Amino acid sequence: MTRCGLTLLCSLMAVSALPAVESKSPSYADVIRSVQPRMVKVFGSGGLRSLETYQSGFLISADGHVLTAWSYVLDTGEATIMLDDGRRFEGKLLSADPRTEIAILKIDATGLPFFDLAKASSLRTGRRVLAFSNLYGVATGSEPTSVQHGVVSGVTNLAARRGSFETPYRGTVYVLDAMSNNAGAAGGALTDSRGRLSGILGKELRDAKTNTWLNYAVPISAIRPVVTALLAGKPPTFEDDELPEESANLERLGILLIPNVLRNTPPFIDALVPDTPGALSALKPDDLIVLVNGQTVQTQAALLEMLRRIDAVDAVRLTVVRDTDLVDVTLKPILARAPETK
Amino acid sequence: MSRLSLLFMLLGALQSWCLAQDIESLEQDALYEAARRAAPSVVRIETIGGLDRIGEQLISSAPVSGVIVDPAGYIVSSAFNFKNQPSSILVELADGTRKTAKIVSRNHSRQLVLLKVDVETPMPMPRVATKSSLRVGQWAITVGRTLPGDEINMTVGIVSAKERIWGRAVQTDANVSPANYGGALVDVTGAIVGVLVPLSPTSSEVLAGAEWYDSGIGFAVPMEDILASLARWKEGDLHRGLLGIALQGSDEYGTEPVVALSRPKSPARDAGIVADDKILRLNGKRVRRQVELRHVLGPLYAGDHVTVTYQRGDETFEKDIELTDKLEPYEHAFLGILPSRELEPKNGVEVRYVYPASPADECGLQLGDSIIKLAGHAVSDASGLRTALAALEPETEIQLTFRRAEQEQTVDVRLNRLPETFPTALPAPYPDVPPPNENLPALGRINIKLPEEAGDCLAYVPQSYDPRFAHSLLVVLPVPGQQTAEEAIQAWRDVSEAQRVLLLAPEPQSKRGWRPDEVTFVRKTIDNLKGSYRIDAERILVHGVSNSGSMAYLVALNHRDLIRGVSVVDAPLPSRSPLILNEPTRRLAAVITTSKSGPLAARMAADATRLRNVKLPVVTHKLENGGKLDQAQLLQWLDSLDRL
Repeated sequence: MTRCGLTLLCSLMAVSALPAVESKSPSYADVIRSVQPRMVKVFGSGGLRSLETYQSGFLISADGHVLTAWSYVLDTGEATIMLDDGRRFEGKLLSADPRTEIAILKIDATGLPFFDLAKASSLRTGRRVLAFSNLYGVATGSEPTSVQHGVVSGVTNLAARRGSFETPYRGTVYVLDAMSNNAGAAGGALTDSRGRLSGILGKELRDAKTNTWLNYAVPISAIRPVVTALLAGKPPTFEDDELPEESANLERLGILLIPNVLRNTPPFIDALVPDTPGALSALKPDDLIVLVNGQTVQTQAALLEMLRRIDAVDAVRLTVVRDTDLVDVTLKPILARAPETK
Repeated sequence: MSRLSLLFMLLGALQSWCLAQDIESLEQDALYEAARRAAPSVVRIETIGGLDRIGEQLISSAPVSGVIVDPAGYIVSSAFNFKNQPSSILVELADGTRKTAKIVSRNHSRQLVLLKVDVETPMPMPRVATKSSLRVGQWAITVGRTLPGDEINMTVGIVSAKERIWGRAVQTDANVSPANYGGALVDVTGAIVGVLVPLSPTSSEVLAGAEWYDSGIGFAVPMEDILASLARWKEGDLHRGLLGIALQGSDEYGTEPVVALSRPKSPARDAGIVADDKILRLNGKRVRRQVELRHVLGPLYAGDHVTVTYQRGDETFEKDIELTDKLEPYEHAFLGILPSRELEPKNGVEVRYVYPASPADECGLQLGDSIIKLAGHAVSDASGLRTALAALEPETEIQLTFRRAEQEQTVDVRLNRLPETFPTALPAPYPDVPPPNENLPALGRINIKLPEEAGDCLAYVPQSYDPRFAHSLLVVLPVPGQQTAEEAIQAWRDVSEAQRVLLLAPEPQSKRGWRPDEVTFVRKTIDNLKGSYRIDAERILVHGVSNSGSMAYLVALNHRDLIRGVSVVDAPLPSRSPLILNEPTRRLAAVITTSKSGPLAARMAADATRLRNVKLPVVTHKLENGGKLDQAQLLQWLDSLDRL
């Protein structure tokens, strides 16, 4: 062989070896092959009528730490973990966090493939994603979990849509356009198109406002500190969104609404109490309150709830509809112990 | 080979490998970029106040999307979002400014609303993708603005089909749901293809099609069509355009479009189209089957013009016709006979029964006479006579030719309207013939299990069933929670034996009540039974008490091609009923029975008036306190539904 030919051969080898080394943008097939060994199937108690006794999870350490969803499946503190290769282990519940609805299980094994949470990727709207889970328990034994693909439909905060979702988790979620959140999918992994872990699939969640099901995952960045705390044996701490000691309310603003007779009576102003912030402002009877501090309120109930979360020492910005105009006013609530403010 | 050229070659290989590797992420970026480009023209809409449910269906109170269609402040959204009649509408533009909006008008054909906000500066108009640029299989991205903050929400799929829902919409497999109704469907360049709406090919209700959310079946009304009619839409509501003809035959996929009747005062009648004219072309497009006619007319609005080419005998005519949104209700003409059901029918329509004091009675028609000609049309059988009658109206004077004892006679007849009373003392339903000697299908109680349906269904076939005759069918809807299908069958079994009527009792899924979507299940059970037994298409009756009565209305009104009678006891017409129209070739008659007085009875009386206003024949009657429904009377009425 000439030196030239040898160089060619070496170069070709180098080129063909590149994808494995660099793994810059491998095919979906390669990505899925690399993710599957890190996925586990979780079988637990539950088993009450019509409740599934299984869910999904994934390995987050070589020593058998499994991250999954905190649910009734783990009620007995134990669960059977089935690895991708079909091996079965008894998993013990290490700890759980009901706020983010995650739990960590431990199995006795070493040298396992795992996702390094520190290397998780963040996503934005439009990113292609893969969702891995054992939804509906389709995969059995050594069968790999099911993979679905889609895009991130939007990145949003569940808390910002109060009244829509019944879940203790109030942080950021990735909304997906894949039908990913079905029975048994909770605890599954969401990766980007290159197989980098991005989120953990949540439980089934119904949007009470649109009456539709939400497909979503909680970003790893939102739960990483929780996992660290749980692994360290420390309960995670949160800034609680506790109610203020004294809330702003309609009385403190001097606003009387029309009688609240329906479940969704709109907040029309009936009258303004003389010598109150409301009466001294530009507000008028028959105005319809539509925004409180820039957030939409559609009903009297929503208005009261919103005010309850505003500290009475803070000013409240109300926007009302009058004919076709939007009118903004800023009111300073009357404080109970210091009545005169103007 | 020089070392240099080798190096170039290697670089080339490396480069093409890199390109191939990046196509995936380039595509991902392109899709997001497309959504982002369309985003300035997609707005968030919030509604305040209004109903929180329509019937059983919860109405979304979450933010919805809209698309700018005119820089002067016009925005289009899905009517789904405004069904609840909100007291105030707030629009948030892409730059965060909020405005109040008013509903300008609605598009009843495509389920859209047109909103207007006051603007000082022109709003950003989207780029529009033309319909001709669309290819099935190309990328389709939905853009909504329903999440909090200034981010859009998007889903990705492909264009699944064009010209769907009778030519009104583009279909996509991208997820479409209340989260993006009113938002935009865009192509990969960011040009807007259409506005996302729930639509159903079989129903024109505002909420129809919403049950398909996130199912891979989504629809968008083409932006090109919206803009083409925008000037007119700003002036008022848009309605589906109607021609005013009914066609002969009930198989719209198989039969040619031959006119059965042009409605009085309709555009078609004014243009001179009459029964037996064959439609050849609409707007120059050949229409060979009835369904093709619907495809051409589907996208058109009242006020649009259509060129109709039709054939009468050897002559061909061409007329320019303006479509209308309203037709005078059609009323069936009545001669006053029941056709006989002989095993070996003679040519003509033999008279089985003459209604007392009917036109037939007054002109001296007798049992055994055979009608052979009506208003100049030769008739050879009952269905021919029915078609000939469908082209006529009550009070019309016509000539009738019949044969009596080999003698033909012609008489003048003034037609009347269908009776609204129970018939008395009808002859036996079928002639007295020896029992059939062929192999009979299963008789008595039969279990019907449809492979793709969860529900159960029972049928009862009388022992006297004779496959040589087409039989009446009574569909009894059991009262959920009070009666099983088994009990419903038991309750009707004896009388059905006596009157040789087949029974069918589909079981409701829930003990709490029928769900509206179970109408499809009920239909399938009827179709299933029709597959194994001979059932007269003119004599299928659905009967129900209270909750089941309302369901009976829904079954009948949703399946006009199949159901000829509906009987309800103590049940109101559901508020979400489909549009009720009397149709010349799809008859429907009702029996409304009240057993108690009070508000329900008053509402049912109003229902009867509503049905009569569209010229459906209604028998109303009241059961005395504790009185029971006269089952034999109802089945006799069913037996008479092939009346002419």
